Order: sequence, then C-alpha cells, then structure tokens
Amino acid sequence: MHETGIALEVFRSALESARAEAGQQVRLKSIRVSIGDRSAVDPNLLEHAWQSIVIGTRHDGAELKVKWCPSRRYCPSCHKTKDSSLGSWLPICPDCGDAIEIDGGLELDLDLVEFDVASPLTKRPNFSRTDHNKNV
Amino acid sequence: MSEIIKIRRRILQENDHKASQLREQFKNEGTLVVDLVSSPGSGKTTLLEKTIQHFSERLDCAVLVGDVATELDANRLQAAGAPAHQIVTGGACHLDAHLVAAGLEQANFDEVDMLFLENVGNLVCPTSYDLGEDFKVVLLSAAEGEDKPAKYPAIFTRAAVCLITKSDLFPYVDFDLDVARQNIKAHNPNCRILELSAKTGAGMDAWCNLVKERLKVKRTVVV
Repeated sequence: MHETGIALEVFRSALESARAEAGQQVRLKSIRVSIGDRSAVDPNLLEHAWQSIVIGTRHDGAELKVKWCPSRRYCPSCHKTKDSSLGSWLPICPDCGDAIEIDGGLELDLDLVEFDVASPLTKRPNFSRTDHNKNV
Repeated sequence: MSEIIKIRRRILQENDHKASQLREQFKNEGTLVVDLVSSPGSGKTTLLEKTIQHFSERLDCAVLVGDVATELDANRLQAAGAPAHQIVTGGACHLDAHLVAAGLEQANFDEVDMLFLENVGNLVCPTSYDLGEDFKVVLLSAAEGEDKPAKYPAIFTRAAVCLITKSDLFPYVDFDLDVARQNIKAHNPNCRILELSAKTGAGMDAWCNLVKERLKVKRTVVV
C-alpha cells in the first residue's frame, strides 16, 4: 500500500508548486497525474489515499485525476501492436509467443495543478470537517 | 480566481534525486550496494548472516535493515559479525532513499566494500523506489510456491538477480524448480537465477562469487 506515500508526495509537490505560483493562501482544486501500467501503482488505491489526505483540510474536495498510460507493446514477428490490458507484464506475444518490444508504461508523473487563490479579504478558516482538521 | 499550472515532474522526483546522490557517494567510495527484496520470511536475514560470515576475513560488509517494528534483524546481523543498523519504518511498507540516507547517517559505518539494504518484507511496494543501489535482488523461497513471479511480476521484472532460497525444502514442499525458472525468465529474460540454501550452504558460493564479481566490475569501472 505504498500508494499512500505516493499520494502524499503528490500532495506535497502540488501544494509547493501552487504556493510558489500564488502564495500561501492557495486551495487545491484538482490535480492530474499520469500513471503507467508498469509503474506498480494502483490508480484506485491512489485516489482513495488522496481523499484521505485532503479530507478535513482547506483542500477538502480537491480531486485527483489519474491519466492511465498503457505501455506500447509491439510484436516484431506479427508486425502488430498488441493490447496491453490483462497480463501485460509478460513480455511475450499472446498470439505467436515470441518476445515483444515494450515501451512506456512507467509514467509516475505530476502533470497539472489547478488551484483557487483566496483573496486576503475573504480569507477564513475551513471548519467543514473539524474532526480531521489538519494544519495544512 | 482559479489557476492551472503545468508541472510535468516525476512524482518520486525527490526520492530519485536523493537516490542519485547516494549512488554518486557509493561510486566515489567504491562500495557495492545491493537491495534485497522479498516477501516476509523468505530468508533475507539468514542469507545475509551467511554472506557476512563467508566474506568475514576478506571483505567488509555492512547492512541497513528495514522493518516495520523491532530491532531483531539488526541484532542477528551484528551477531553474525557485521555492522548493522535497523531502520524502523513504523508502518511504512518499504525503504525509500531518504530513509537509507538517514539510516546511513545514524549508523555512521566505516567505509565498507559492500552495503546490503535489507528491504521491508514486501513483494510490491519496494519496487517503485530507487535507493541508489547497484542492483536489486529478489528472493523467492521454496515454500512460497513457483507461481509468485507471475503473481507479483513488477519486482521480478526489475530485479537483476533472483535467488530461489531454502532449496533444502524442495522435496518437502513439491517445489517445481523448472516452472519457477520459466516463470521468472518469462518476465525477465535477463534475470540471473540462482538456487541456494543458506541453512545447508548449498549454492552459497555461487551467490557470493556473483556479488564479489559485481564489486570487482564496479571498481574497475570507477578506476
């Protein structure tokens, strides 16, 4: 379940980038990450971990959008690109059994950060989920 | 007012950066660094005890060992004769480059020929983290069954070496060595596969020679 650590890293980098752009009062709105099918990261677990990180903070409701990146699998014997869904870890052509060439699918990238910039006049603490209130 | 900024950076950039620093440091020191990954109970600590004893008079080894709790493993490794430092992760299921760097700072080892990183017992999570190692070794013990490479492919595709451990148990647990080898090779044709029993000593020489050879190659490249 290293998705929690990955989600924390996404949160930390996204917040740092947004703050560098617009100051301390930013509120994260949506984040887009690219996750490859060979990255050993489960997108559902990652989204779940993300929710548990932002809940109760001023970033509560911020959405993590995962762009799933399948690897490109080409069989030089069949001269065809192969589907990379189930069992895509095997570097073997499902049709002819020869070795296939695999490219990509290792993405683990932070792509986009969307955030709101609160005006200093409307600055107020967010007490919507005080039970989980975290000072971030 | 809402803004969108493009980032385009690796999520684990900080880890990768720290791992590069460690790799540079290990290169300058001429230390071979091996990351050992496996499920809990497949024999990482016993393998290291015997490896340390094998090299005791010829090469200096040290171990950083990660576990969720306790210092049991570090104590065992120290008793085997090597400086060992326990990283208690307190819940984290893998080592990362920052934990290794912090562990090294605390341990304050003398310069060694070989540093072994005994990862937290887990076949999934350690896969994504570069620790600055020269290569990863995955252990598969006879009692786990020969299907593990197919079930947990990520680590088997990334490990340079796979050790099939507890070979003394083969006859008792119906372990099919050919099938295990096929499963590993199917995922990683370049993987070097060795079977051994740290308990009986069978196969230990081949493993120790492999490590010694890799150290020699690393130092030749450095010089």
